[in-house]
Amino acid sequence: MAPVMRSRLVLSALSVLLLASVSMVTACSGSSSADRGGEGQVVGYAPSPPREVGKRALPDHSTDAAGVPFPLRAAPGGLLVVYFGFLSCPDICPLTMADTAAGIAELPAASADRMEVAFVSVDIERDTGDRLNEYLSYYFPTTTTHSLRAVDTAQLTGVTSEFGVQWQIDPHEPGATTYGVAHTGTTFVVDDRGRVVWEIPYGTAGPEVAATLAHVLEVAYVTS
Amino acid sequence: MTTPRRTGSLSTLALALALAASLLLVVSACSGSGGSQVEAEGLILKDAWARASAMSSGAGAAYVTVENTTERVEKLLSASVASSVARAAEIHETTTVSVGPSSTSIPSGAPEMMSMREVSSIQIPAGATLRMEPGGYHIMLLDLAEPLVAGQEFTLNLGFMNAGVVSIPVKVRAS
Repeated sequence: MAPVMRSRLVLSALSVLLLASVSMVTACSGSSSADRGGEGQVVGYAPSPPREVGKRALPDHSTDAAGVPFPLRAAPGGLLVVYFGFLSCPDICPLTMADTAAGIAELPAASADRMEVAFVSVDIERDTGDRLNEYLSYYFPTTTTHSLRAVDTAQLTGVTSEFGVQWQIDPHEPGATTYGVAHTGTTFVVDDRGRVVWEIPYGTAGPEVAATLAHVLEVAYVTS
Repeated sequence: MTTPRRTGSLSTLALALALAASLLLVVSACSGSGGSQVEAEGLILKDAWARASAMSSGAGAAYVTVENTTERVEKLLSASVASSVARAAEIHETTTVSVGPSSTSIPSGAPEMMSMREVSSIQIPAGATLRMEPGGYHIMLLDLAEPLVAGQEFTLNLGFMNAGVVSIPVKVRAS
C-alpha cells in the first residue's frame, strides 16, 4: 500500500508542477517583431521588350460568382499588380500579399487609387471564386481586386506562358486536400495597354514595393 | 515480494524527481525581452509567431527560433498542435526551384519557382541557431480548425532528438 500511495503522491505533486509550469509558460506571452523594413528602394526590373499579356483574359469572380472575362490590363492610367499563387499556400503567398498590401498602403492616395490587384490561382482544383474573394478582401480591403480562376488548365497555361510563369502541382489522389504546388514567386506589374512593364522579385518588403510601384507609375505613363 | 515493490516505488520516485527537475529546467522561461522564451536541455526557443489567417479555413504557418547552446548536434524531428488549432503540423521548407532550359518562354532574369516540401528533420549543429522565417523553414499547420486571429496564442510542441518534446506559446500576428 505504502509504495503505491507514495507514487500517487509523487504523481499528484508532478501534476501540480506540470500545471504550474504550463501556467508559467502561458503567463509569459509577448510579441516578437520581425524587422524586414527597408528604406524603400526600387526593386526589380523592366522586362525588355515588355511582354504583351493584355490580349489574354481570365474569369474574374470578384463581381460575379460565375466569373466574367477580365483582360489582363490595368484601368486607363493605372497599374495592375498580378500575382500567381494558390490559397493553401501558407508561407510565400501570404507574405507577398501582405508586402504588396503594405506597399500600396504607403503610396499617396492619388497613386494608390490607380492600383488594382489581380490574384491568379494556379490551383483551380481547390481554389474557388468565393475563396479567392475572401482571401483578397482580407489583404486589400480598400483596393480593387480581381479574383482570377481559369476554367481549365489549358486556359491557365495560356496566361502563365505569356507571363513566363512556371507552376507545377504535386501528384495527388483525386479529391486530396493537401498537396504541394510550386509556382513562380514574382509579382508582375501590367500597364493599361496590357504590357508587363515591371517584375518585382519574391521577398520584396512593403517599403520597396511602394517605392517600386511609385517609380513604375512614373515611367509607365511618360511616353505612352 | 516486498523488495521488488520497494525498488519499483523508489525508481518511480527517482524518475518522478528527475522529471520534475527537468520540467523546472524546461520552464525557466520568460526572458525580459518581451517575447516568450523557453529553455530546455540547452535549447532556447524564442520568437514564436504565426501569421493571422486570411480566410475562414485553410493552412497556416508558424515560425520559431531555436538556439542550440549544447555541444552536440540537435535535430528537430516533429511538430504538433492541439486538434482545436489544426488537424496536423508538419516541418516544411520553402525552396526555390530553378527553371530548366526545357521550359517554355523563359523571360529575362528567369523567375524561379517557389516550392514547399515537408522535411523529416532539421539539423541544428552545436552552438548554431535555427531561425525559421517566411521563405525558409516553417511549421505548416494543415486544415486550421479556426482562423488564426492576431493577438491570439496557441501552444506548439516541437519534438527534438535530444531534448525531447518542448512546448512554446505561439503569438498570432497580422504579418
